[in-house]
Amino acid sequence: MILEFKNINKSYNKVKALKDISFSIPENSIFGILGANGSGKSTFMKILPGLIYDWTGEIYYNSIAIQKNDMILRKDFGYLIEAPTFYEYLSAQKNLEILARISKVNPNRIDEVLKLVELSHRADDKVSAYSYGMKQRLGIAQALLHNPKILVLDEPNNGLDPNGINDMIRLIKKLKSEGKTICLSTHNLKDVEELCTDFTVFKDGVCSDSVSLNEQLMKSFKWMITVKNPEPVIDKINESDDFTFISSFNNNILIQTKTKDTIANLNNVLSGEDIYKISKESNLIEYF
Amino acid sequence: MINLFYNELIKALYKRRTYISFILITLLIPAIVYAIDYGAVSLETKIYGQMQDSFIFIGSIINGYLSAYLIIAILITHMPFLSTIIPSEIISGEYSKGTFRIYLTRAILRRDVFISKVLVVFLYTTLMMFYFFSFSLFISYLILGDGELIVFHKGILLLSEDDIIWRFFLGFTFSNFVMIAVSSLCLFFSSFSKNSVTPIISTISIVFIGSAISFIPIDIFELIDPYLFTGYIDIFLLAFYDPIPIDIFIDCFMVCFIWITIFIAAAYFNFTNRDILE
Repeated sequence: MILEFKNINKSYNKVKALKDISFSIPENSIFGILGANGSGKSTFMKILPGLIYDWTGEIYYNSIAIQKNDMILRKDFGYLIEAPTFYEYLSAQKNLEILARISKVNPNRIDEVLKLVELSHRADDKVSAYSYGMKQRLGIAQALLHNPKILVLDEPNNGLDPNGINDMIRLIKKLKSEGKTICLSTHNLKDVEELCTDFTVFKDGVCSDSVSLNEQLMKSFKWMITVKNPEPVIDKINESDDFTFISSFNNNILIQTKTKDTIANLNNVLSGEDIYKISKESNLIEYF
Repeated sequence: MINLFYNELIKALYKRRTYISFILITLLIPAIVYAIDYGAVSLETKIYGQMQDSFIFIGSIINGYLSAYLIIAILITHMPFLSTIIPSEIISGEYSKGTFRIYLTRAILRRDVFISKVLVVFLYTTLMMFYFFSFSLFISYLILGDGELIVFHKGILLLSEDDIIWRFFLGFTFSNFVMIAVSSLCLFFSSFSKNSVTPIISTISIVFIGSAISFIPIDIFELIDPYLFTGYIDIFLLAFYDPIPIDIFIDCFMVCFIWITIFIAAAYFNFTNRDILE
């Protein structure tokens, strides 16, 4: 585990925002912190970079206890907390120059990160002229400026259009393939399903243990079948003792098996039907 | 620290509002000097007043030094407004726009960020005051020329040409110190506020109340006035007294120094311990 949290607590006046938060993040994972609005995700995300001072608990980085507001939590970590915010009257280049200067980063690195997030052609434009998606990408660029080992991204897909979300997913996966550990918060189950290797769920300031998405997927008995002609397939499913029909949409049929082994019988039940694809559906919504 | 200071300079220099005070001074002062030049006869008559019955005046007392003296004496009480422009938003602006969420997540100490901001505020105030004094003198000298300076202190005081510039410099030094106290007060409010308007309103309200205490001749006010930095906003005038009231200048230095220390220390404590939630 690259990062471990033990009994993290934070209160605002008399309201407890985080209650004994404990979980750990595996190295080179994309770790999702899943939770509804107001569940304490953003408060938690602000503790690591020292934006929130007044908290209790322990943090271990590579199994070494980290003092509160230790500089290593900023040297080895890159952050994008909440919405991307920049000096809007300055260009992207100038914004990154300001951050590079205090991070003691070679100015050439600015070109590298701008290229990585595909903003090189707009580097000299004022940030005020950027779309939200571009600002979000610039936010990732600033987080990567000092080449951190761990990226902490607070709702990176928030406010992005479908193209922006696809770009962001591609970028995050690319960063993982380069060996970085990524911790992201989201209220979107789809983000976790598509991106994360592990996750925890926050609710009312408390959290679940770390869960591997693959392990969770193994526990799911739901399958999505894509067929040419859905009606006879739905009839066959309904007649079968091993399967339960849940819903259908266009050529897709969602079913549930009684046990995890019964999926092997599906081919027998659906013999003679044109089946395009069978894929396992996550049960994240139930877990959540 | 140099990098942080340089960053704060860049942030300030790229903002339009930084130049408001300089533009205002640049436009206003030549207009006033031209007005003084145009109305010289009328102004002289008002200055002489009943003295014309007792003295014969040869030549004109209107010159660049008198013009600069009058301009600075009149406008100095309004400089607190201009000195709040940068400090009002140097911290609160970053809270409100959320830029601290990026800036303060780097491997830097909040203490150093705060010091860099304080240095920029002091530099801005000093440059603005220097520009105000030097531009007033320069334009007045350019349009009205030089000569002896006539001021009123316990009667008429005529100051020779080589006895004037150092008095302007003395006036500038202490006026600037008072203005830095005003800027520090604004910075203090800025460290608590989430917008840049509240620090300006709060600072100007306090300057207004302090000035009222200085001007209203009530015993209790006269007792506390020497301990308020607002009582020294017009200390520039005292630089043209003869002899120079050194004890008042020392009081001014002590009072402003103590208030600046209090404001900066309180702002520092708040800034370095505050949760950045915005």
